[in-house]
Amino acid sequence: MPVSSAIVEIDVSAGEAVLGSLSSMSAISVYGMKDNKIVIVIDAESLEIMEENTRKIMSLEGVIGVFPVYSSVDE
Amino acid sequence: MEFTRRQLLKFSAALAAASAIGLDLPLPKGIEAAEQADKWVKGVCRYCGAGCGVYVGLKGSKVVAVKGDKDNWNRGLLCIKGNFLAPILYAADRAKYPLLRKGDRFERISWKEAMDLMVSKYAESIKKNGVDSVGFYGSGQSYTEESYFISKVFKGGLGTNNIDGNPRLCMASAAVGYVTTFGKDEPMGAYDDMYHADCFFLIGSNMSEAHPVIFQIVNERKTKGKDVKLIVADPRKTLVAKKADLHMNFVPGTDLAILNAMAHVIVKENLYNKDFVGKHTVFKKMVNPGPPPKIEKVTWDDYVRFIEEYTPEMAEKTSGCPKADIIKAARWFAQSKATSSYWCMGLNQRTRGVWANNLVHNLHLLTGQICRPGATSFSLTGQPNACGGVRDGGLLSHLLPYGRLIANDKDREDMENFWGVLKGRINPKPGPTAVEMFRGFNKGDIKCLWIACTNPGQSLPNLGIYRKGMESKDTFLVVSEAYHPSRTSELADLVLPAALWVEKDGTYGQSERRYQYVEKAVDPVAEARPDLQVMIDFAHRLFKSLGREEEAKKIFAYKGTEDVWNEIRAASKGTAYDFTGMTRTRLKKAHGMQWPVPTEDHPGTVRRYTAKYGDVLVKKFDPQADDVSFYGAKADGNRATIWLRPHVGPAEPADAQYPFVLTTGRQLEQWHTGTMTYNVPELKRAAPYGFLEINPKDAQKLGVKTRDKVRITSRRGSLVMEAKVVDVPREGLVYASFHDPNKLINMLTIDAFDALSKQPEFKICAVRVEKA
Repeated sequence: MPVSSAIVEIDVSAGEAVLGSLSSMSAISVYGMKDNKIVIVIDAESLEIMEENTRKIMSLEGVIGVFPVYSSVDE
Repeated sequence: MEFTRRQLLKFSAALAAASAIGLDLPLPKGIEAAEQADKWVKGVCRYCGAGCGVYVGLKGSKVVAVKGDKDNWNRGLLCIKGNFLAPILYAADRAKYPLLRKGDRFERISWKEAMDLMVSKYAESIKKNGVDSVGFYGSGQSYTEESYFISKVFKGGLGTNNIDGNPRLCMASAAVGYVTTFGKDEPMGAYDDMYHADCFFLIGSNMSEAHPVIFQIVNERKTKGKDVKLIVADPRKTLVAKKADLHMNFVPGTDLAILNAMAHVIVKENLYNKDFVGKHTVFKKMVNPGPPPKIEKVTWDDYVRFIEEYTPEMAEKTSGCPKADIIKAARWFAQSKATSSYWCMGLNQRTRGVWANNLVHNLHLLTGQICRPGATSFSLTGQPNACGGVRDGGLLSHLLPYGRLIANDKDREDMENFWGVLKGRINPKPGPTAVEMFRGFNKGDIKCLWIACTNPGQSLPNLGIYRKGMESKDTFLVVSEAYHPSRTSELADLVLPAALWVEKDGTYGQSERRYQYVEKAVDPVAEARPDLQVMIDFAHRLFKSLGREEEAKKIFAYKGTEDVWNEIRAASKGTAYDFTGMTRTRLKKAHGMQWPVPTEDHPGTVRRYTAKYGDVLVKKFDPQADDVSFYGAKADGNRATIWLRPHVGPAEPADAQYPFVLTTGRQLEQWHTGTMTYNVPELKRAAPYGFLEINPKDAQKLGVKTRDKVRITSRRGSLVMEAKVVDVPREGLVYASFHDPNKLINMLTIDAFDALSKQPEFKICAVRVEKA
């Protein structure tokens, strides 16, 4: 099962809404925010679910980009 | 609450992302808070050959934290091991004092007593049995200064080539692969190529676990680049294989057929680069294996005839890899704008490792996917200084520093002049390689052996017979180690406590020709000493015992690492490795420098063999070249070699009696033989012991479930381990990491080795698996 961290870059004005949406997604853990960047970890059962979550985040209002940082796997 | 492996992976991933934006994360329960550092010292990670830049955090005289260097190639990222590096210095089992074996136990002695004893044993053996009765076994983890110096002592001082190192177990096939194809060792490309490649070809590399930070670049490229293709050839479904656009799964040991079949497709479909092949390559085949091997130059037509039989159908029949995958991979490889290949032990630790390396290079040369941004043929390295110290520095038994060879008369003469030793001092016969050296120690041909900074009592193949040799009462074994007991130091007659990592200073050279200075940050624990200090002391004392005190004063006149480094720079001058301009002062400031660096105002060279992309040595060695020149291959008119290398299977394929293939490797949280990572509580808890991966279909046939005990038996040994049933190894393949000191998987592996590189075939041996 893959574990991947990413930086979600956002429009600051949408910060609270994006944080709220991220917190409601079951595979996502939010670790913190600095300026317009949010650190998340996606903890998914498969790569497909991980990619689906990434697409969902990308489609949120106020999200500029999702940038993967670190991936590993726990079988 | 127990902190699980998964929680640790999540935290480590979050930490990497947080570091990238300068965010401090609160620590979860189960991870001990590091003290706040009040000073940061620049260094390099102690683990793999990726060579991540780090800053080491000090509070007073203690290392309390490590963070990634944002201005280095790793962009501040560290893997899970690098994030928890500090505790390796303060482990309870650090070797603190010289220890002498007394029967079944060790007794503390003084350094003077230790050195007196060691020198007397070496001197006595040399006087009685000659210089070839003593030896040294080094490491890709030692600093460059240490490897260079001890090589000088043995080869130039004593006149014996009984000196080799553990890179023989991991990188020798890559080194010989580069030399036989391009004339000189080391990759022409750099990690920077990953940002330009639109096709990645990974073969025999579990990059996601063995080189996690490099994998992050591939992952990023794959995620961001819409048209980036990732091909992974591996008999295991690793994370990187799962992320691939094309996973070429094959029977272990059949990849030579696949690589030739890819070349077959490239030629048949006219996808090769005629201009590049015509201007920059020659063709060769081995007509007699020797030794020495007899090589013959052949023609393009001969090559085309040779690959005729390697149809995708033939390769599918041999390897189990579908022909459609082979065709697709060949087309992507050739037709992409820039293709980069990366490989590691899956190709190198093989009895045909050199040939496998040559065949990957062939694909790049045929297609011209080389010597421009994103197009490169790149061997990843396992240890932090296998390249810098042991390959470049010339520690291996057939090498002299900076591309020179023991067997070459002019190279020996050059080094004898440079070192100021008598003409003819360097023995013209290459010395024994790792396995041969331990065979010699078993037989008593080598009577005194000094092992430094490595753990062959766990890492050698067919380990049982070599452990017996190391235990022998008839020989004298010295082990310089930072930890005791290790599975090697427990067998020693004399243990010398070694300073570790930032307890001493020195230079590391990683996979992409990047040299980096590691500053001393703290004093060694207890009475541990830097190996270089011990080596210099040993050399002077030994030469005094041999009546050569004055000579030693002249040729070993060093006050510290900088003196040795300056001599190393001079030894590289004028060679294809030239890094004369890499002064200590520059290295202290820089976040690594990539050689060649021929002058003190030269910025370093990202890509070799291409004038267009900045290699100034092209004009020096091949003034007529307009861009690409493989100037290491002077005898071939500065052209690289496309080799006719047939498919040959492994030394010990699976059979009716031993129906599974065993392969060994690394696990994300652990490194090498675990001496360091087992001393980090977070890593030990996350991955506390070695296990055997079994494919679910095989497990069903064996009636084995995860956590069941299984007995694995090869022709050399037997071991009980816990099973992990997981859809990672293909059917018929089982896999174990070699890090667990309590589960010596190398008791089972085979010590057959490549005829050219002498690297053993850790990756393939036949085993039987039963429920225990």
